[in-house]
Amino acid sequence: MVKFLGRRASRGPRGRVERRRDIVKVIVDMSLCDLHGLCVEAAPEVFEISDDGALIVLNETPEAALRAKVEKAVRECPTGAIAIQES
Amino acid sequence: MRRITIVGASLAGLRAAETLRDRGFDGALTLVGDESHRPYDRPPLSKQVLQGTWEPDQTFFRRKDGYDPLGLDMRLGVRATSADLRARRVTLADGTYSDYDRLIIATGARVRTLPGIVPRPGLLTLRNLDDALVLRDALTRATRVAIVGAGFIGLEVAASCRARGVDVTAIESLPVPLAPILGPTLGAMIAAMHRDHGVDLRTGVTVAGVYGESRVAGVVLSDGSRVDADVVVVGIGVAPNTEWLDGSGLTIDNGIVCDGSCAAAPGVYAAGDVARVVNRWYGESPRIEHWSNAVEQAVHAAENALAGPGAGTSFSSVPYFWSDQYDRKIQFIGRARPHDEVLVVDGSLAERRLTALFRRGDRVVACLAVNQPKALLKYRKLLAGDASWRAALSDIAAG
Repeated sequence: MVKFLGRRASRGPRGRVERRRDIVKVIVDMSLCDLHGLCVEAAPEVFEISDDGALIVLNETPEAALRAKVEKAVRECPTGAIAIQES
Repeated sequence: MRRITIVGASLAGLRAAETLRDRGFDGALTLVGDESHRPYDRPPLSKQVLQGTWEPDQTFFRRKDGYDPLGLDMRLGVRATSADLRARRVTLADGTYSDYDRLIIATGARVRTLPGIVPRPGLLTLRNLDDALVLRDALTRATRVAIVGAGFIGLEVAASCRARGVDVTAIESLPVPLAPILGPTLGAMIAAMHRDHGVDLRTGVTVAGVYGESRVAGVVLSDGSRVDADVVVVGIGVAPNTEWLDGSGLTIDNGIVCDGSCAAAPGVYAAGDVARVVNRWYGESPRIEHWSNAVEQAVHAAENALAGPGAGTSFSSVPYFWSDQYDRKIQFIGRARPHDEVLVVDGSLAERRLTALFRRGDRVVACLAVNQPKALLKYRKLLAGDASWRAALSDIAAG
């Protein structure tokens, strides 16, 4: 089940960080991503911007130790493009 | 600690509430906001909403039922009128109140208006969702818009008007728009971009008056010229919403004066546009009106509110803001002054696609990127680190 997608009322709450559980999957809505790069700063193990200017999710299923960093990325994304899918 | 009250239901207030719950606070949490809308995101107002590509509900951070998991006592459409720090009580305009063990203030800022000018139909500002809807509606009928103030908000409105095919005159008191923030060279580049898109940009002039009695018909400038307009948008900055705290005992000086833990008094914290938080990166306590600052301070304030007095940690953050105008994304980190040396390290002014560093002595103090998002990552790290010019040069050499 997708607990919180990225942006916009029609799609569900954004920027929402649920209580600690193991991350199942990190999802980025590329139609919303605006390449602010704050996720790369928050969690460089998980996010990267390629040389040709595209956001890449390096690790879609990061381990629990990276949870706080991914949550920071979700919270700080100016377009609410990042979601954490939990089972 | 059983009760936390947050005053201000925009980005900082909401992020503070989310952080408190994320960190396990399960007591009573009250969120007070003077607008009747549930929390929404402001950056799209001057772009997507004005251009008509987004409906208002796309700016909301959460759906209505998205608030259930937060368990908030949400009091929207009601203004806080005072805070009694001794009794630990916030009083609201409807006569109700909210008692707290910790108070987080995120009341933001409001637009400044032209002094001495009587309000009238067609004389508009842009800060809130309602403002954006009024302006969007006006733009469907307007043929000529005058924008007073060519700062970021004024220039974004100008770009959105042009996207709608509306004629725009922008009036700026400075000789070069944005020069205090970006320096004269880059300010001139932005000015040229707007002129190329058909904006009649008048610089070095101020507004002497507004004409049109039953509704606005134009503005008179300090050089005596007249600019006819169906709609006049005033974008001359904002002032922090602190009046409700007069007499509270908090120190107010262009915002709520806070220490590095966002604390303004024991048990009282502030975040976002209304706050002046000691920022170690600056070595001073500026009031910052950026989106990312609101998030960072909200999280910091919430964490310190839970940690309690004495446990507070300091705040260190390199400021970041962005602006979207036409097909350009302008991103800026750090803080520049007009006389900083500007070095274009990638791209060019002519292409209006570039990365520029701002140098003061042997330090890098800021970086501007126009349509070069990746460059910012490197220099954000540099600015947060030792920020020496020598390190910057080796970064540049490394490409």
